[in-house]
Amino acid sequence: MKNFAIVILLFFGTIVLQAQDSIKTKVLDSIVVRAKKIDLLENTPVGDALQKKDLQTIGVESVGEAAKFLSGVMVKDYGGLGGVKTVSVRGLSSNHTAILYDGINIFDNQSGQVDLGKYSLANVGGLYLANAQFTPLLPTASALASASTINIQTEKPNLEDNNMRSEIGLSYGSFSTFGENIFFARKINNKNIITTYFDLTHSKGNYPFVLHYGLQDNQKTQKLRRDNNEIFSTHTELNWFWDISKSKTLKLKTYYYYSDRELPSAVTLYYMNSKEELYNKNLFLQSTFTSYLNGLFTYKNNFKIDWNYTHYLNPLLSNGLQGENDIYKLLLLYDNNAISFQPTENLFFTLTNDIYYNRLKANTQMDSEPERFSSLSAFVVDWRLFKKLYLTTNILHSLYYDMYSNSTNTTQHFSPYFCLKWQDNNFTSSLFYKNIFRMPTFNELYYRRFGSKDLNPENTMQLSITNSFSKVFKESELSIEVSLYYNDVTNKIVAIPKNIYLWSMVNYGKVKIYGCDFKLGANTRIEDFIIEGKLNYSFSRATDNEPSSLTYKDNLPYSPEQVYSIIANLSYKNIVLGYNCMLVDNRYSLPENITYNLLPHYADHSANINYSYKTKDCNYKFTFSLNNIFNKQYEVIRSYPMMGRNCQIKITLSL
Amino acid sequence: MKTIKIFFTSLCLIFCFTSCFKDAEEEEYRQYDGEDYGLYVLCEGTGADNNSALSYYSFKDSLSILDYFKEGLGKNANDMIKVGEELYIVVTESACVWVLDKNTGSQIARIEITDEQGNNRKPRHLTYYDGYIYVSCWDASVVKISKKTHLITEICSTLGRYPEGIAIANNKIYVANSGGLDYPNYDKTVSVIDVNSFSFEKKIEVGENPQTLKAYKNKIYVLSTGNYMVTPTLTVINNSEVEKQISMNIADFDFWENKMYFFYTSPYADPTSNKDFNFSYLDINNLDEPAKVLREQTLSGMVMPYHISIIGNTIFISDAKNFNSAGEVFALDTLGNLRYKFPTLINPSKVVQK
Repeated sequence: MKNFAIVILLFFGTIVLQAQDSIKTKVLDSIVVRAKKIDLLENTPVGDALQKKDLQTIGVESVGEAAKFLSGVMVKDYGGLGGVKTVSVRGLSSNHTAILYDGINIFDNQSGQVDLGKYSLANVGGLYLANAQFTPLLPTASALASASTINIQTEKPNLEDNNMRSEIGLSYGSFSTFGENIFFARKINNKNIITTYFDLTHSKGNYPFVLHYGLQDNQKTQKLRRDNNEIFSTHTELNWFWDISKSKTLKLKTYYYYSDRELPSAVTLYYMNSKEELYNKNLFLQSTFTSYLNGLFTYKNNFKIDWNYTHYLNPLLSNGLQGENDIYKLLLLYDNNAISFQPTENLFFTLTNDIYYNRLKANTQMDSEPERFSSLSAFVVDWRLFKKLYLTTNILHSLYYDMYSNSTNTTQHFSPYFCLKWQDNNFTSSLFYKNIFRMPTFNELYYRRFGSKDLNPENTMQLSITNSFSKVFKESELSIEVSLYYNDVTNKIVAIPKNIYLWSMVNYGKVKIYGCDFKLGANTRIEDFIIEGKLNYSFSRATDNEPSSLTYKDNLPYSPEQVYSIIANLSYKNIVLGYNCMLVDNRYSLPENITYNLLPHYADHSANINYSYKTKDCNYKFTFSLNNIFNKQYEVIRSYPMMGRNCQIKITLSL
Repeated sequence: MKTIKIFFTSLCLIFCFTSCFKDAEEEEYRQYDGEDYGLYVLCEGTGADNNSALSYYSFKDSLSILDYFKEGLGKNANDMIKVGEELYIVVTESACVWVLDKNTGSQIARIEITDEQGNNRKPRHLTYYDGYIYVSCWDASVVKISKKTHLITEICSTLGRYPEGIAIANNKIYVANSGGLDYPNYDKTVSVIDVNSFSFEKKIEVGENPQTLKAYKNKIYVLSTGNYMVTPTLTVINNSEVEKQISMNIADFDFWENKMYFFYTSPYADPTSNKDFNFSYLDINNLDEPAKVLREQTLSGMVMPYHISIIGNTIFISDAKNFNSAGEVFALDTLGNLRYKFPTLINPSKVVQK
């Protein structure tokens, strides 16, 4: 609570700092409108970003692991390289977070949760988080349709100096972890660039962990090794950037992912034997076509076709069929059309529509194949009201038409978003309000014996106010941001027992969340040394808000009240020392806040050292990382121990 | 005034004591006589966590020790019996049977229930007869354990699917083959195994998905729940033959003085409102009669009646709440009135006195 008070002081402090700023600022000249709009997007204060340099300091392999360092984000990590990693933002569950890959949504209507452990960081240029939504130039309607958005932006290489660039990386780490990645970019002519990317990882993952017996402290412990944790995964991407003319551009992407992951399962006292295995295959093609029509209108089209195959095996599961052997096939066809109109310098209108089709084949767990037709349309207004006051607002219309067996179901909603921003040179203050919902997933509706066809969507309401201040000095930079928020969820989908045998999924829950995110960023140069650092602190209380619930006013499971994260690095000539740490408060593994459900707080510290070496033809980079330096044994999710101390060596060659 | 108050209070106390006379054949319900004595409750815990626990209610202090066996029982404790000075607890996912000292609650042995390849047999229920403990397992086996050595002596197959309840009567072991995990193709038989030869004898056909199986006065009572949406069937087996089969709305049952006490919660009730209880009894010789309802609605504070255990003339109903939270055990008299209640950990089921 003391921390919370300090943060409130800082919140108002940033306003005071701004007022005392004595450096005269020059009002930004009127520049090309679309560039200014993009500037607005990049200055969106309500969120967080991890650029390529930050990602290299953190030194992890997957998006799921890096996302932990985004402000206000809680990652449910099931341990190891192959463990599932899902993201929840500001207390809202991961079904409320949209994940975009280069601006287009990754849809998972089956479980509603995207496993971010599947997305490699090696070709990622930045991870961007928006608390609510990004409203860039010509957004897709789906990007506006979730309570939070995370955009995974891949790198577009700079080929101005040479026509070709390539990079090869090799890494080897603890528990027989071997990784390889190859990147190749070529400028074919002034208008065409092709990039191709390939990576491969293989790991045995047999890391040691400490097993605790009993529900209380000071009980017996035992050192064991994670078994059945081998993983093989590979990912390949082909991108084509085509500047068709001065006003038309086309981007095409082909993405393929394959993984074979053995899952070690939750630890069980006195008996551990897992033969669970998960296969994933994902292929998608996406294209983005942008056309700047006469200076007033801009048109954009996004298209995506996505095949997703999941095969889950559990031969030891007790059921009549020699265990579980489930195959899920998801098909997505997606098309977005958006047009923007700019009647004056200070006013932007956008009309955007997404239409997409989803189908799931889950023959072992569902009696029929659910299909969903979705049409989302949004009317967006960007208005510069006064010199420094901006308003962004949109109304989103959602139409979902579900077909399953012989029955159909239609859901229709209007959802508003409203954001007022005051932006000065060094200081920004913004306030947003958003009311949005998330559709029940195919699992919640149709899963054999547990699904409920009559489920309504879960509704969320978000209110947030953010102040940010940044200052550039002669040799340093400083930025501070404080964000206060209140979210609530109604009609939350929960499973409730009807009697001792039967359960049903109902819209019964209510959640209330309030919290604060604090960000501090600084960098400075002292002679040949450069020091950069980023500190995130989050305080939140997410509680059960349903009065008739047995756990009314209790903290939700897996919602720690305080989270700290630090990323820092020190550069000296061609050596970079990186450090990061993650401190997470106590949390409960079940809805009841009793000591028997308590998961203790933990701190995970990691460091790495990078050495770069240039020759005439080639740049070499050597990296040595030591993760979880103090070998802290902890669990993010109960019964899924995380890796203790481990290290990795990496060599990268760039041509 | 004061003397009259004392007179009436002592009269009430006398009535309390007289209502505790025990039947010769049931277990004695010990009167609290100032000694350290109490009740053990088996808490199954949640399905995916290692939070099975043993709760102990002490009469001396009138309080519950929620986590009495601190070392941790494991994942999915399912059944518990008392044999002499020992408590036997079966834990399904942790593949073991615990032997605890009933006086101190400390461990005497932990018996691993795995097959030749080291795979978990998934033990479910257990019963005791003549020096041996018999454990029914989901891999269709009955494991025979010696009480003296705590070692497995023999294995016998029930030749059925997913055995659950097990009990002994007339020198025969009866095991209910539920077939429950083969949904919707349930099994519908009870296997009979001879105690002396420890070999399979025959199968008796009962209703679909038989789970709860109890012995009382040399007869076997089996409850078949079908697909959980139909009316359950109660089968009475006498000397390995079906004596009676009746459709009855029962969730769990137990016996006292030739009466069967049971309760039932309907699957059609609104899951967010108060549950019905339908706490009733019937004479075991007149099970065809309509149930004599003692209590229709749950008691105040009772959310999800889960199991019934009768010790002497006290009826213990365990309350599992929402299967995710710490539970409670309600002690009722034979008229359905509350005597006392105490808290436990998650999903309390069987109650055994120390």
